Amino acid sequence: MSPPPETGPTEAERLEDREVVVFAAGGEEWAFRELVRRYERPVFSLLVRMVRDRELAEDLAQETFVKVFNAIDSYNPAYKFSSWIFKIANNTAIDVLRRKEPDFLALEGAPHAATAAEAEATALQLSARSESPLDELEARELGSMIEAAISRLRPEYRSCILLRHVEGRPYEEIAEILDLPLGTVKTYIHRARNELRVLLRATKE
Amino acid sequence: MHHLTPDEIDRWLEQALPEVRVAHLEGCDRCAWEARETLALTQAMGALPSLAPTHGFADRVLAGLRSPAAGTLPAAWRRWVPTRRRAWALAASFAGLSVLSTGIATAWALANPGLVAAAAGTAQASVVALFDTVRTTIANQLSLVPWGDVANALTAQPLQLAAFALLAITSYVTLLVTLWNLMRPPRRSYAPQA
Repeated sequence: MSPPPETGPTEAERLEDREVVVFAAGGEEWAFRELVRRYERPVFSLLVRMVRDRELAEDLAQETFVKVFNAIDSYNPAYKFSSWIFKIANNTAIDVLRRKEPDFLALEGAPHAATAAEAEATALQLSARSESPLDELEARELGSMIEAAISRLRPEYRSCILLRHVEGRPYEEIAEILDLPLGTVKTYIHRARNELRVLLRATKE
Repeated sequence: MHHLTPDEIDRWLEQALPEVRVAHLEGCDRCAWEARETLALTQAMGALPSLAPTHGFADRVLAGLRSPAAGTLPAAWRRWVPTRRRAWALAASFAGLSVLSTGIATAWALANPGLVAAAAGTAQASVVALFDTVRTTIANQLSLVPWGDVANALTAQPLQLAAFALLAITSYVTLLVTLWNLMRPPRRSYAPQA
């Protein structure tokens, strides 16, 4: 199946996910690229914060997209594409975490970094959202503290809180992604928030 | 009046809390503190940066799809296509070793044509002799069977014949189903559940 003649890259951006998926299922390369463009950041961000290793997260993100694209024929348009891809990404991360729960955070660089330069190169890039250097430093420190605190949560709490407050997904979609009852998702998020507050307070003290 | 529940604090964050409960929030230090803490935390989490994979990520994903023509493979076989760089490195190592060993064997064979020809001749003679032995043995055994008597005996006992046929068919089907289940890759649904 080919896109309509007027469907170029800018037209592709206006299409809904499920429409792009139809073109992808027809083997259109631009459609695959469009789906990657839309979801590479949210999927990668979720995976980095789940597994806490940037290089591993990139492998898992690639694996997630390959799984999704290889099974694109079986996509059910009755569901949101975002739910589907987040579900696969989360399951991929949980599989890895079950095999081996890393015991430290890669915020300051990948665990296998041998030198300071390598560690810096693989460290998470926290963008500056503030104006002055002092604000930037404070934002970086707060961001680092929150990332560290999130990494100490149980994987189920981690998935829930990241999807809710970092990716901004509604409770109902999180329940769909994680195959959990809505009430359980709310409970996990409330507990995760309480744990995070305790951890952040302990870090500040 | 009761303190705010976690659900109500969520609704306050979404600016959807009824006025009556907002009034309680304004007059209750405990709920106000709880709400402020939750707001600060959720705002800080919402401000966490969006992270991007390294340059060329989309190309690597598409290369993964094209690798051993993953798109043209039957779905059951696609799971065997490596999707991680480490798995690809391992697969490439095995492929490299295979090519290397084949190359060495070919070079050795070309360097020793006489030896190879002798070995091939011996092997061919052995295979032909073995084939002849098997063929002769089977033919001899079959010629010894009194086929007419067997046919008469079977038609004289139709119930036993039917029972034997049923048993044979059941065994055959069971064997096929078992083999199918053993060889079938595990199925995994990625579609969200309703």
